[in-house]
Amino acid sequence: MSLAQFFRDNPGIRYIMFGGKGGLGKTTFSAAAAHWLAGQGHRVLVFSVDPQASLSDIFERDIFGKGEVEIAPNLYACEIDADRRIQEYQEEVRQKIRDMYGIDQIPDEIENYIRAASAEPAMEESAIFDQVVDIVVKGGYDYYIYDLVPLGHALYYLSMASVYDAWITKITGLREEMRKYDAVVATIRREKETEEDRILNELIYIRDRINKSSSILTDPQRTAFFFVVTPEEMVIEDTLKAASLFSKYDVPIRGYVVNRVVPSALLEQDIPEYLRNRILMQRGNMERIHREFAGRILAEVPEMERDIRGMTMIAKMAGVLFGR
Amino acid sequence: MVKDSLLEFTRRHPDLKYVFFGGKGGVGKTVMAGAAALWYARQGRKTLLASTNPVHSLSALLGQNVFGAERQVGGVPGFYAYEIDTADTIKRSKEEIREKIRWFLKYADIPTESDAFVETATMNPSFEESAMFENMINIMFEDKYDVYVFDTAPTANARRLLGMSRVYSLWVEKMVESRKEAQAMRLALSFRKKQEKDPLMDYLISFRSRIVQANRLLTDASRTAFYFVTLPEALPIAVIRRFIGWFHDFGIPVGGVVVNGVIDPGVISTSTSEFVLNRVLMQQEYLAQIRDLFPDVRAVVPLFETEVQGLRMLERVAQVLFRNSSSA
Repeated sequence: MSLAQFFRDNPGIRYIMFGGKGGLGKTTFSAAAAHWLAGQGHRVLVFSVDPQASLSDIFERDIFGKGEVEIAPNLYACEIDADRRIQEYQEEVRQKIRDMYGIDQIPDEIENYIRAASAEPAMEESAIFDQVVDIVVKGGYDYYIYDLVPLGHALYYLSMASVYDAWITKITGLREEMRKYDAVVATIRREKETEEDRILNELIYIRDRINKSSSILTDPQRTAFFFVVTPEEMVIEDTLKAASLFSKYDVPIRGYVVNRVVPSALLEQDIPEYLRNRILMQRGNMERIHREFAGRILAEVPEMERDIRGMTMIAKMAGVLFGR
Repeated sequence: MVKDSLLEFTRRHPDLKYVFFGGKGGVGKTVMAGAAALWYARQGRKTLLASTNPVHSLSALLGQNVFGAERQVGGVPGFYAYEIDTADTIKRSKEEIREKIRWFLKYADIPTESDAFVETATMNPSFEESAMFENMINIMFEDKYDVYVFDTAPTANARRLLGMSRVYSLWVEKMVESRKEAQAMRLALSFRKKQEKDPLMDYLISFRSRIVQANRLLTDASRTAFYFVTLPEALPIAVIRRFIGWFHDFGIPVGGVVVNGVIDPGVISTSTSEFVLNRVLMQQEYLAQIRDLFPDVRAVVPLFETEVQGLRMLERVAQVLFRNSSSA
């Protein structure tokens, strides 16, 4: 089966992810897939959850932190600026405090607390995660393409959904218990909605958002996860390891794309030793790829003469990836 | 384009002890880390090559299982490698936290089962990352080696990992403060007016001193160097450009740039395949860009005729990585 055929056979797919080790071409394929789907008349958003994102570089447009930017007709791209998101959140908290107490200046003590809370290590992830949920929940596109972080961390990201869920369930439980006591106090004070109520409602809201996105990540009807692999021994090993880990998290892996296959025809030409060796080495590894991922290889993309950058090259790559 | 080579830079920094390699995925970070570690060992310095990456590749690179324990590599004197077992670290950290929370609940006279609290604390998504950071610090503090070469996770995580030491101090500061308050309160309410021992406070204070010490090591340009690896291609160049800026902001010493995978233009002749010709042309274009962008290129490593795997190949990479700039 080809990648183009996959999308024709599975019209319900809305969320697309390319996964794999770093440097194999995930961003390139994300951009190419977005280009192809947009060319088919679909409204497509490709966005990056990686703080070291390269969408700006590949599209040759500075889109970092600029929201959803229209790159071409029907094709939108977005690079999330986690730091800015955190700052916006801090400002929101400050505004709430100002409104609540009718003050202009946030006391130093509280300001320090706001800063310390935002310095929490999980903050960056939470900020990105939050924005992804916003984007996906808002809707408005036919296809969402996630340009994911490299393997180990993608896994971490994917598992986060279930971790957060468990975490909040736990906290909610503790909160529920505390609310019992709080209610007594509230009755005395004749307050309708207690402080604990508000916190609990906030937590439930967060949990629902997380459930929504984690159900997307593991829904084979709507989500397709493709693995990028190259004909190199270490890459094949890592991919096999990762694929088995991913299936533990119920991530629907729908196929493999082989990248950087050096054309055998070059053997007939005057080429340096490294390239000759690489072609021979790749032969053995290609056999292994066909054995390990039999029937699940959706495309084989040749090594290009130069790196992919700019719309002309992306269009060319899309042609190769989806077949002309 | 190499003015101050890795060899010269290393000689000018004789106290370098913590060496990191960062950059976009797939640029050869693991290979460079392996070659550098081998080179240091060959100089007669006891060297540890350690991976803190959740998806390890040192064993594959060295052709030898180094997962979960420090092992000598291929009979090379002074050359050790170690892939840190994340699962094990997390298990141990959880145990430690469980211990502390139990003690705290007892100390504070809170008659609650501690398990719920432990789970809440350890299920926090940043817990794994903190545990890995702790592990790296532990290895550094054990001080069993002359040189440590870290095959780090892709740079964004490395930056955060190192940057986190700051965050930690901030947190611990807050906690120590509130602990002091609680202690004063307890003393005031106590019938016997006797100062009690506070293991949690002791822990926090020792933790803080560890963090301060780690921060000092990681930001000391005479002992720590973070090298950035790139290929002569647009995306890896863009990535390291961004990261060098971030590292400067964090006060983490940038050792310089290593360019990997360069095809020798000398192989070109009139009969050379067009495919190769175009690639060489592309590379030359990006090499010019690298020269303009980064004044501190420490080494240019060629594309080898085979994949780098095993000690023999690593030896060759090490030779190029640490050659004099006059011969580069």
